[in-house]
Amino acid sequence: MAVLTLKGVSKRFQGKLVVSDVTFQVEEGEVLALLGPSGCGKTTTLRMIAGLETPWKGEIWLDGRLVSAGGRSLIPPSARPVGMVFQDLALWPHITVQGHVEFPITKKLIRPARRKRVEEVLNKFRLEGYRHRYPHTLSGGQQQLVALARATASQPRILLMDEPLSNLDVTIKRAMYKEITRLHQELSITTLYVTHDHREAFLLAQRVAVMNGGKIEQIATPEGICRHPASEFVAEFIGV
Amino acid sequence: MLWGSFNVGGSPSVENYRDVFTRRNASFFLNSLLLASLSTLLATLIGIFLGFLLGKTDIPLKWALRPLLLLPFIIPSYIYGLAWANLLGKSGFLNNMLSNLPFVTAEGISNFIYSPFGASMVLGLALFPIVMVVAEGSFIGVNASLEEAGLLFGGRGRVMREVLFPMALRGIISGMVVVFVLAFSEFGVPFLLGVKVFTTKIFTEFSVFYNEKTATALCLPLVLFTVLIMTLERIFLGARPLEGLARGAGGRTYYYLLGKGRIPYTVACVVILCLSVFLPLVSLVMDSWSLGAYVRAFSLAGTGMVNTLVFGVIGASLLTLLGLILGYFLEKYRLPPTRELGFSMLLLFAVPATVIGVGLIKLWNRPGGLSQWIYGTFAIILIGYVVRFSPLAVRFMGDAYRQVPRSISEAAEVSGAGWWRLMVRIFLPLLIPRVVMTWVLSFIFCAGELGTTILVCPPGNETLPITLFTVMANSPAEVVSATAIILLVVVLLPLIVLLVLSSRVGRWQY
Repeated sequence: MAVLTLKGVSKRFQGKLVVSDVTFQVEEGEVLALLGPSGCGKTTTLRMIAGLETPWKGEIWLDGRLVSAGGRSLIPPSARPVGMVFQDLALWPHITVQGHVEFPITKKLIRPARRKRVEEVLNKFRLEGYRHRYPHTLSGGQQQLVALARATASQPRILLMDEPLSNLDVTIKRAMYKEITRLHQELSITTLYVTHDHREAFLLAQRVAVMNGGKIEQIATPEGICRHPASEFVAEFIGV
Repeated sequence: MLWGSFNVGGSPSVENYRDVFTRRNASFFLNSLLLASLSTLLATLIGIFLGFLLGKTDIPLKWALRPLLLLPFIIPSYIYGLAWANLLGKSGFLNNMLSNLPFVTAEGISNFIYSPFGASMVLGLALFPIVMVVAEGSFIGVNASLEEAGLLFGGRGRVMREVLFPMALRGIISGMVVVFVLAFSEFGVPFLLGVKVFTTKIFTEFSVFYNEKTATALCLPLVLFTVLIMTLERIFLGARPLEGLARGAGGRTYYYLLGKGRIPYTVACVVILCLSVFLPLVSLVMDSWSLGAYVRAFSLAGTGMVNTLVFGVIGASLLTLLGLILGYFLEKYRLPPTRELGFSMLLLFAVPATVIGVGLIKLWNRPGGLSQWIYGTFAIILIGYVVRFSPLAVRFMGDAYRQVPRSISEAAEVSGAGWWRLMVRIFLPLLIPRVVMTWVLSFIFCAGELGTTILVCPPGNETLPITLFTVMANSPAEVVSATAIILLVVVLLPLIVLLVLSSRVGRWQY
């Protein structure tokens, strides 16, 4: 069963259509990359799935539940089974690493279970040594891990990542690719990954959706896209 | 309900309005206009001068000058009125000194301070910090590269004239409008100096002649005029794209080095500081320099002190809470209706205190349990505080919310936080320095509030400003000065406490 389904989702900003009739599914355990130039509507699509924006038209289904339909958000972000990594990471400057991991599960788990889960997550992301540190004292890569740890702590059905690596330099980026791949193998968490970098998309995702001007131009495996780009735009954008 | 109190309760018939547009009232209106224009002129000149020195030059002692130069805005303006009346009145210390000069008589100086010109000087000296802060911000906002580009073609003077000032103009004008509106609706200073303006006229009609209908009718032109000014500002400034340009990328500020001018400019700052802060305050302290005066003043001001503290604390807490909640919604949903709400809150700020007082009385002085309870207790004073100062508190907190990146709160929402947890866990800890500042400022404004309180104050609930004006009518000068000093200490109490504790606040500021 698909974890996430979008049916004809559109979004308007001040009369302009920024996302237009987007339809796709993300299957259980899959990593789907949403690839496109800046301003193509990929981040807006992601934010609609998280519930941070309301679609103008269309339906969004998460884990078999209708969460947005008919121009309304039916379920608020706080009740959707999603985790999200923001482009600027959005770590809370006044909360420790452990606090970040604890925050999403405070309401969901009772105390002993919560403590166990926090340890588990800190372990998995190799953050045990930094649990009492504040975000600004961590390196860029470590901050990235904290953002990932927070997003996955509540075991969401789908992980939404909004260009999380765009602000990092090349060396850290490489290390993070490895880390993300490793985590994905261990956690096998369904992921929707937004990026403008086709190499990143091909490296991390099993399927890639190429977006342009608010529309999806092609959805296929990296190989499929390279071999048979569906349009001139796709071909040019990935540089074949 | 807030707006309701300004719909000038009921519907005054045309008959009341016939009295409004008489020649006598026109002279009141012209006096108000004169007072507002002259104070704005003075405040603007001083404000731009200081704003430039603080923001764009290497003037020494900035760390001390900046907070000290803000004091005039915090200290209630009628305190200055009182001090200047003492200084320049017939037996005043400065009067004695100045009247030794040729062409100047004691009579002339005394006439000056009790005229619209004297009142304008007092208000200009009290309100310049607004222009100063806004001008400094606008100057700093001008990107260094824009000035450096200009320096390739012309000297510093030309760059200042043709680049810096035009780009900062928008901010400066909005600061001037605020000063103008505040001076136009000022009650304390003209009342104290016996200058007949529109606000004091309303007060006299209402409280002395019990001419309620005329007073209410008089409110209307006053409100209309201030609303007109604010609307004009919005239309005029709303169309100017300069600000966005000035605040482009980077954030580097070009500094004009003063060189040899450092000393004269610093002296100029100190002189302004003396004229606006030290001289008036010292004169009050000197005038009250006897134990007897303070004993008298304390016995007269006892209840007033307690009331001021209690009402001030409640008022400041209400205002801060309102700022926290409304500020959040104004920033979160920046949709047309809320933007309009933001603007109408600003209009509220422009409504003269006297008008708010009249409005509140018209609203609550009617039969019925709750209305009578509010009308007869300190609740009406608190409502007055909230109505008058909520625009400030909401603005202040709203700006703070805006400084927190949106993703910070969205991350909490996605992590399962509802509104309450978002507030308590994310916003409150991040904004605590600003919350404290909002509270302290609200307290200062509430505790010093005169124009509304003097109208609505039920017997037995007098606050210190009211006590001060009562004392003024029937006590010797040194007792008046002593009461003013006591008022000042009470009003500034939380600020003093805050400064002592300030090392503890402000750890995670954005």
